[in-house]
Amino acid sequence: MPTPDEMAYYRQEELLEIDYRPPERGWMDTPVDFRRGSYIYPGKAKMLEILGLPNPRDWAVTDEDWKLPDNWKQIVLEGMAERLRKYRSFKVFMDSCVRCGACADKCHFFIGGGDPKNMPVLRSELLRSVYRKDFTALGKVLGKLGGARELTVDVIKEWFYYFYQCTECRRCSVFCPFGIDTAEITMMGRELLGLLGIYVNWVIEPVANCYRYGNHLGIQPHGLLDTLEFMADDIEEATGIRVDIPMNKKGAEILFVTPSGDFVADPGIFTCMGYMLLFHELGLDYTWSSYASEGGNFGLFTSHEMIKRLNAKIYAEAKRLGVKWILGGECGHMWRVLHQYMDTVNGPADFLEVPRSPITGTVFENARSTKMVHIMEFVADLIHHGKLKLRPERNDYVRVTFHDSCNPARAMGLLEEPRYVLRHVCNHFYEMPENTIREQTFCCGGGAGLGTDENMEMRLRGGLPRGAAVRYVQEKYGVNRLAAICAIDRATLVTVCDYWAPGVKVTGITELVANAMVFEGEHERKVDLRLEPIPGMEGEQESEGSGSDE
Amino acid sequence: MELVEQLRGRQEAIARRWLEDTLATYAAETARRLDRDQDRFTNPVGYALRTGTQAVVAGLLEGRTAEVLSGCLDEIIRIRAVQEFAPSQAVGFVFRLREVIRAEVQGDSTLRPLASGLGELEERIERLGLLAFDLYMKYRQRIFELRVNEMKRSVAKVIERMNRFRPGAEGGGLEDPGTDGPSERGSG
Repeated sequence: MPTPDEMAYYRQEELLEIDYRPPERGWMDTPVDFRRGSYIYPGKAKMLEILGLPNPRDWAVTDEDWKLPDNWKQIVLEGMAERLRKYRSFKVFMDSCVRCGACADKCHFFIGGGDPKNMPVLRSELLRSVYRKDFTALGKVLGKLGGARELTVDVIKEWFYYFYQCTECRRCSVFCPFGIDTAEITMMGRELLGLLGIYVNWVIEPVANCYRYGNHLGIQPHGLLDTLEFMADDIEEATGIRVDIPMNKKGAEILFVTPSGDFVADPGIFTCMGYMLLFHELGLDYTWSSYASEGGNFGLFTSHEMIKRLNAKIYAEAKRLGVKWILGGECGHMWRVLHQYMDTVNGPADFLEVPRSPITGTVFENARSTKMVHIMEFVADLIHHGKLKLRPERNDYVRVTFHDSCNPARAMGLLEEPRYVLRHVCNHFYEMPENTIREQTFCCGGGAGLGTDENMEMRLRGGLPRGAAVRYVQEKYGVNRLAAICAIDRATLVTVCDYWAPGVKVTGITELVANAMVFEGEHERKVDLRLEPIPGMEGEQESEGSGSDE
Repeated sequence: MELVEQLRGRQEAIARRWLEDTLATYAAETARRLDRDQDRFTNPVGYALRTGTQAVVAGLLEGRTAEVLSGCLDEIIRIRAVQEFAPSQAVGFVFRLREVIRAEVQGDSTLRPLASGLGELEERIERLGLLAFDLYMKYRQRIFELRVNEMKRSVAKVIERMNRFRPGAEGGGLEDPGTDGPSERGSG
């Protein structure tokens, strides 16, 4: 017998014969393989009951039998027909794809994970193949040859797996020559699944909470007040200033609405404290609402009807409290709903006035219809008019980069205002590479109801492109802070950074604004809003702040 | 070790062959795209595989320390630890480097007489495989720590708030109760 030291041991014919590539198999013949770490737990029966949704039952994704109604197929096909009639975009998106592949490598889940069914074109085909079979003549005749396939329970399971591996971030749609919005296809897919009572709990529980209590976390009015008072204590410790908490104040000029994620967890609460300080300093006549206590809207990840149901409280509260206009905090998907759906589903808000800043007099023409202004627009305008006394050097220990949150960037084009604000409150701001920001920004991997913990591997795969860009600026410029104007980002990017770019902390922009602002009557600022010592400011002498940066 | 010196001159070809072999652990369409797009930001996986395999081959042939080789493998394993691989698949590509080098030696008549040097090189690859396993476990462990940390973050402030309004806090009351929980460094 030859030994490994002898050439005869290695038989070339054998080495060359072996092909390690797995055999190629058509995607229709590749059944879904539910992997722990990749799927999300299903919606609980009691949540569906609260919302009056069909087929409430407790089940597990790994169960063979998903306890679908007997006529499940009829329900789905009728639901599809109804939506094809109702939403012209759905019909156009089903018909117009030529499978050019421009979107194929644009999805963060495909980029990070490599599963071909996460190519947006293929994710759409999951639905389109059924459309072809049942709604087109060619598909009926040609069947599989024409890209059509029979709707089966396995198809339903595949839909569930992949439509909950899409964060509806719409990066792929930026590259589609036909303008196909894959997020809307995912939304349709999820609506159809919903007809069978198939939801994920991380979406449907917040929806049930929001429906009953006004916010995703189910915080009741006394709890909300308590939470804000707790923050007021911390604000006092950091700045020496006691801020008021106007709650359900009738006749206030402005209603302020922000995502409830900023009420409870790090680092969102520091951004919320920033709002409170800013409004206090401006002497703004504003109010919180204990009912419209959520700007976010997980209805967006459920169905069009649910968007409307959960959103209705915002105009209703504005009307009840008699405010003139609405100001909104830092959130992502909240702004897609407010900017693109609210006016249509619950407007017109003709009882409100066109928003006008009481400090600068600026009329926000862009919000003429919705009557709702983004906090970054509001703050950028204040800075532009020199209305904030700023000492950006207080943030000198922060070397910050900016993550464009998918929805403010791609759904409302809010690209310049956050950067303008950041540049005025921080001396060290560094952009990530061009093809990872602005319209081309990469998702955090946890949007659209995917930000739970049981799918952690999937989230980390999806967060890789963003994480890789963050690590690049961390290594190149010493970036130690990632700013984002989205509550989901502030929760999920903490984890993304801990894995892909350890050492980078996450922040909201208003937190940095408040840290840089000089407040009337403040005591010596030795700690920031996190109550952490400000390096170099432990024994600072007060000097004249930079009133205007223009 | 003459063989290693000879192979150093071909390290690019070896790394390329190993890269192709590693790409084959992905679906065919995925592999093509991972290989094609050279941009490190729009194709971070392809970039990590390409630069990582090159660095490992160079390090291996230069006889670098375990620490250096581990650094070269780090990003690839960090990525494969969150992709849908079984553990054996996630680190298995390292061992395939043996076959790649064997094929290189076998395919070249000038190298064949030096084949006796393969034994030592293969030992190095086996040690590399163990390093990959360490890294894989490190990152799997981190994934679960991150899950736990998210849960902790979601309740920490609530507990802190409940404790803040305790009776007797004003003037000679109880000391601040601990709400941080244990931490690795035992501080903070």
